[in-house]
Amino acid sequence: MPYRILLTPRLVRPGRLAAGAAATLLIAAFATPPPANAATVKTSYDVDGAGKSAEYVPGEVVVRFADAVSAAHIDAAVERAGGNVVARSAVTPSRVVLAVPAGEEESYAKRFRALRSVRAAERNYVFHALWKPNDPLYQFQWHFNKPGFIYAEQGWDVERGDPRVIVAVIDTGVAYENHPIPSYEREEVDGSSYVQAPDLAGTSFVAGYDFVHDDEHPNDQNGHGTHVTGTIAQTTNNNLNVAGLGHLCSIMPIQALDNSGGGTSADIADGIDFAREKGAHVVNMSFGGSALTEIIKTACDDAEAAGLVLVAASGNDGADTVLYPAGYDSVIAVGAVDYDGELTWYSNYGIGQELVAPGGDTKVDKSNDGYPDGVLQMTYDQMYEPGLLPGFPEALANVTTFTSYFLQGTSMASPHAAGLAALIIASGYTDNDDVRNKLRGSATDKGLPGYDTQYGYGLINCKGALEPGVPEVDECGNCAQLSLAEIALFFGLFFGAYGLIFVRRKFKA
Amino acid sequence: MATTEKEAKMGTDAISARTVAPLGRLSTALSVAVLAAAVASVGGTSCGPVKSSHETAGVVKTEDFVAGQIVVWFDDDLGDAAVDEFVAKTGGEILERSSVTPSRVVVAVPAGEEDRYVEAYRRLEEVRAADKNYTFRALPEGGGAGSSDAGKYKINGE
Repeated sequence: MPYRILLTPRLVRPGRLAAGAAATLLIAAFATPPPANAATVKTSYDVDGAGKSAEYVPGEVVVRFADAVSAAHIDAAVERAGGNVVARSAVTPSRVVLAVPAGEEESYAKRFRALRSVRAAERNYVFHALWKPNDPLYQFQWHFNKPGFIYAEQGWDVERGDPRVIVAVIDTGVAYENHPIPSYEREEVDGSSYVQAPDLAGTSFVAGYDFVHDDEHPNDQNGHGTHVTGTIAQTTNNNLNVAGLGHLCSIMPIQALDNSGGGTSADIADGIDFAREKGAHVVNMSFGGSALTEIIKTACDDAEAAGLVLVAASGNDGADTVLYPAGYDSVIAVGAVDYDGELTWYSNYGIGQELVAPGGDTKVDKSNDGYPDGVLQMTYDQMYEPGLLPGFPEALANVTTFTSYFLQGTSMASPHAAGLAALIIASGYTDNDDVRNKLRGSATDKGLPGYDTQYGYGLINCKGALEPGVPEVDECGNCAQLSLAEIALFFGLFFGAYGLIFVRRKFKA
Repeated sequence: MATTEKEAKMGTDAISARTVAPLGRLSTALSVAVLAAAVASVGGTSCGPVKSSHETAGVVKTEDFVAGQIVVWFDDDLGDAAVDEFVAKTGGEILERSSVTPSRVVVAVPAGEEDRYVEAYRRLEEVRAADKNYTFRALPEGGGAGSSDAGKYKINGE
């Protein structure tokens, strides 16, 4: 593989459970392991007692002596006050970095501040670049920029993607090229020619395929696939429109859904196989159905075995059932949360839910930006609309003009997770199990403590997922964290059952 | 061919454990396991993302499929001629051969008899998977991709 491999320590989280070993479970519940998002130990320091904290290098202090102070004087002062000089500034030799015992940084800094020859002394604080896209509508992409939410900006400071990392988008196609509409597709869309979305002009694409029409031009016939693609890799920092999460990664457009947004398992399986054979690393599937079909399951299993990361939408029925393909073991099921990080009214959940990501809620404007809280990306101005009412025939998508739409749905949540998976791969983690564990282990816990069937492992966290190391997350690792109510219920049922046994034996006797 | 591995375990294990085990014969270990399962199901906490079929989750949904079609995936090393031969023997007519995976074919069968044909193909050792040609839908909630217009909002001015 062309990517650098990071040799990082594996972070071991206690609290493994043997299935059925309920007693162990109970004990482990009291010995609650660290939360899922505590993937790395970060040294921090309370700056002003107001809850603000600053990151610093443990065991280091920076001391700035007066300019006139000689190197010999500095060495003598350090010898008296303590510590060892580990670095001397090349540009300002009177500023040195001292090694001191970890945990005693502040007391050493104080000692040096007391010296008359010292202008300043303090911990060696850590600062991060704060990169923000310059796209004018980025301000409305709360799903990326809301502080303390999915930490996209902090993630971008670490990794913005790599064109060698390929995300296959199996959908209604993507508005990725300017291309004449073939004769056999003219009745399915409006417009004279397929046109590339302006805010996909700088996005990297690799060859895809249209399995609905069996040709090599998977242009979007609906508008859905273009919006989904935008969340993953909209051209970003181009002073135009909006941003995408994994914006420097490549997209492999695959059409398996027709102009109305429907597709068959035959075409979808072809799309998954194509992604596997053509070298995609991540597959996004913002569609679903209730059928547990062997055909798509087998294709997903093959793709996972080949090392791909598969991500899919959980469904929009608001039901306790994750749709397929999200429901397969080999696929990461993604539910939708709103601006507050709460599961949306429409999002499916249930056994198999693995992560949640912003899917939006266009009924409200909690972001207070004057617009409904949908996920904002570019797509066709006239998307496909079905003719649901008498007298209102279906409206075909016009494939020539574009705008930005706030849409909601688990369709919109899934590409957030897929984009983050691509960023993780770009950062050097090429094993799909590692990628999945980084997604799970870094997720911000929501709902019941630990894994639960509403939020899965929690809300995707770009900052945490892009930190070094692979958290060890096993299937039951987080089940140890039960709520007090659950523990009380456990004891109640446990002793209730024994009471019944006792009474029954008494009667028998 | 078995369609579920871990997929059905969580739901079926929990349900059967609770309904089958008679209270009077509960061993300590079993009772603990049953109660743990009950806690998990009541509290919404479960052991990881184990998948479940709709039936085990207690929700039965309409499964849409293309009438008169099934999809059959033969072993990948089987040639076209062998696939043709198996279809000729088992029944139906090849409508389409996958361009990316030629061992997977869409077979036309009499409408209403899809399940019978699926079962017949599943019995063949050379078949990896066989199923009705199910349909799936894009999942925006309102707006585009086959839903009503509600839920879709355009931003003004760029």
